[in-house]
Amino acid sequence: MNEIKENILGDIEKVEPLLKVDGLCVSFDSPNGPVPVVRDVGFYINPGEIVGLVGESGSGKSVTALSLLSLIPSPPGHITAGRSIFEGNDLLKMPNKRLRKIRGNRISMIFQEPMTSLNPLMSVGDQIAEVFRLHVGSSKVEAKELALKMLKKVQIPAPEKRMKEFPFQMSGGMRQRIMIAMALCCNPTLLIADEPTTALDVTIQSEIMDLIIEMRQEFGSAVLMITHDLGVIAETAERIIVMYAGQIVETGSVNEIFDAPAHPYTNALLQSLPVLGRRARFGRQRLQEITGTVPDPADLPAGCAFSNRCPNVQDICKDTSPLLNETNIQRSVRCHFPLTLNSDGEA
Amino acid sequence: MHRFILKRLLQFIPTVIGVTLIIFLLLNLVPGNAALSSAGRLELDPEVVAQLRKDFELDKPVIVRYVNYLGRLAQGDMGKSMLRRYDVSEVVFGRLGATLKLACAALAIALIVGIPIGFISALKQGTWLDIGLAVVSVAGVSIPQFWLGILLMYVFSYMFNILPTSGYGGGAFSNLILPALTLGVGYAALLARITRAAVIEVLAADYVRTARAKGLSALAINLRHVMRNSFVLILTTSALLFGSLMGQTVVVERVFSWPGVGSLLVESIFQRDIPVAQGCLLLIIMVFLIVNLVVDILYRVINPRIDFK
Ligand SMILES: Nc1ncnc2c1ncn2[C@@H]1O[C@H](COP(=O)(O)OP(=O)(O)O)[C@@H](O)[C@H]1O
Ligand code: SF4
Ligand SMILES: [Mg+2]
Repeated sequence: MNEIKENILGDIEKVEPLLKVDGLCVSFDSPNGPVPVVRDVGFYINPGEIVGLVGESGSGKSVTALSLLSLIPSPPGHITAGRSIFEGNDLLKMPNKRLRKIRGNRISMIFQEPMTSLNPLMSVGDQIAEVFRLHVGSSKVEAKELALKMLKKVQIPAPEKRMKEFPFQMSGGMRQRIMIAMALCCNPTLLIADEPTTALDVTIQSEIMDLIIEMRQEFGSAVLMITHDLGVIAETAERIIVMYAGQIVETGSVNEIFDAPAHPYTNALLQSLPVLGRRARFGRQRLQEITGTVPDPADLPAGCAFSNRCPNVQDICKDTSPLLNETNIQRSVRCHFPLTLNSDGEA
Repeated sequence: MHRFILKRLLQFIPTVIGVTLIIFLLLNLVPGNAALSSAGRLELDPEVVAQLRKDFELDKPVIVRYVNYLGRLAQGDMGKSMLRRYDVSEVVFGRLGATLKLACAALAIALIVGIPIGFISALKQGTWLDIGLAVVSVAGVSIPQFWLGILLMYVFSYMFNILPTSGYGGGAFSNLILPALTLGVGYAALLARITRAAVIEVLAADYVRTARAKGLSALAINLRHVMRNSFVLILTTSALLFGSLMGQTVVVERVFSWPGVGSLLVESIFQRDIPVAQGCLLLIIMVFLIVNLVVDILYRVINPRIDFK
């Protein structure tokens, strides 16, 4: 068992990552000066891999994702430090013109709000065709045909008719399909999906999730799947990154995270899952809300950012910030007292 | 769509009747009118005065007069001037051309100057340019029109003597410039503020972020995604503006002796020539209502989100 694991890890280390983010720091201006909302975030994504980025709402997931393509509103947002190496080049240092060639082409994004993410005054066909016009240089007619093909791919019924419709004529799930079609036009090597199902009806959620996975298999894109719900990625992601208050607090493979969470916050997230997924086999299906809320980034507790909610808090936690401690390239935890890996995860 | 237009047209009728009622009461409940005061001055025979009273129905209760007025109005008869006995509708409609010309010229200035300034301010939000334009706009909005009119007149007609002081000049373009500027500046400034707010709102929209994530250039985003969406917002507000623009023509026409409905209105009110004043007011308000109707329909044409039910 250990041997196999070693081998896999060896392989991972050999692969050149598709995206490598290092020391990313992002601040937002406020009346009382800049507030850091993403603090020293670093991770990697290998080609074709699905990585889950998890954390409660407000933990900095969207800002992290948007920063990768310099899409945060600026002002008030500023990327104050960090690198984001994609296919050998730093996206954050790249001139705008080159970055634009990557956006929507090599790296695409799907957003949380399908209701507002499409232009209300443009037919959805035109909005998809726009991507082909831009990145492929298609003629108007070609772009229309290609857009129609994409609509068929994402399984929109009556695509010829739907092409000419406006977003307001469509349901949320349908619009998210349009967003997915738009994102996949140019066969991106990386797809960033920022809570693509959060705003949808529960019944539609799994449909959209399945579609993304199906599309990924067809297009072979790597996916950064952002969610506040660990359950969403339990079945799909290979690795998981857990964020809290603008920092990465734990990383690991899905198995490691679900079977032996090391950070009390990850553990709390797991406890709050309605169905404990893989943990169900331990015979415990309790539902526990995490008490308290994500701290305001302008007013973080001293020491560990989780210290005001952590059940295991000790004195040292309240004045010394724990460092991100890497066990190996894919496993790390930011805690003075990581939960012992061989216990059942509830210290 | 057709049903919507029909419905709006049907709503138009009670609105117009309401307007006539308000105008009628306003002008007829205020004491004094031309027919009797001129009679008093000229010390006319009681017989003649009685005839005047009869001609203008001054011997009847207000409500009867209103109903009769409405009946005549339905046939296109706005009555006769109390002073000169001319046909009101003929004269008032004859003046409409000059007023519309002035209002449209002012609106054109407002659109051509105000919208680009608003766009630039929004795109350069928070810079010195934006702040500078804001100061200019606030000044533009708050300048009283009669003062601006006289200032322009002083500079361009008196100091440099390049433009006529006042009057219609038989419809010459040079006569239009100063009054149109006077009327247009305030609206340009107002429109700049409205445009700026609309564009800033649109720029923060999620679909603009989507457009950026697609890899579009700033120019393409502004042209294809920002402009049209902000025009929907701008259009509704500028339609409301046109109403007050029509009202303001009264002041500007007076300053520049512009022979429009507005100056006729002021004259007729001073002279208590009630049928003429009624005709002028009704016409100005009708133009406002019709513009609103057209904008309402236009708004639905460019904005597919609204149901036509
Ligand atoms: N445009 C913005 N202006 C100011 N603060 C922002 C803005 N966008 C995000 N933030 C702040 O950044 C923090 C992280 O937000 P976000 O990345 O959206 O969280 P998540 O996606 O994990 O829910 C939050 O505290 C939020 O208030
Ligand atoms: S460092 Fe302390 S407070 Fe923070 S998560 Fe670990 S145990 Fe809890
Ligand atoms: Mg988010």
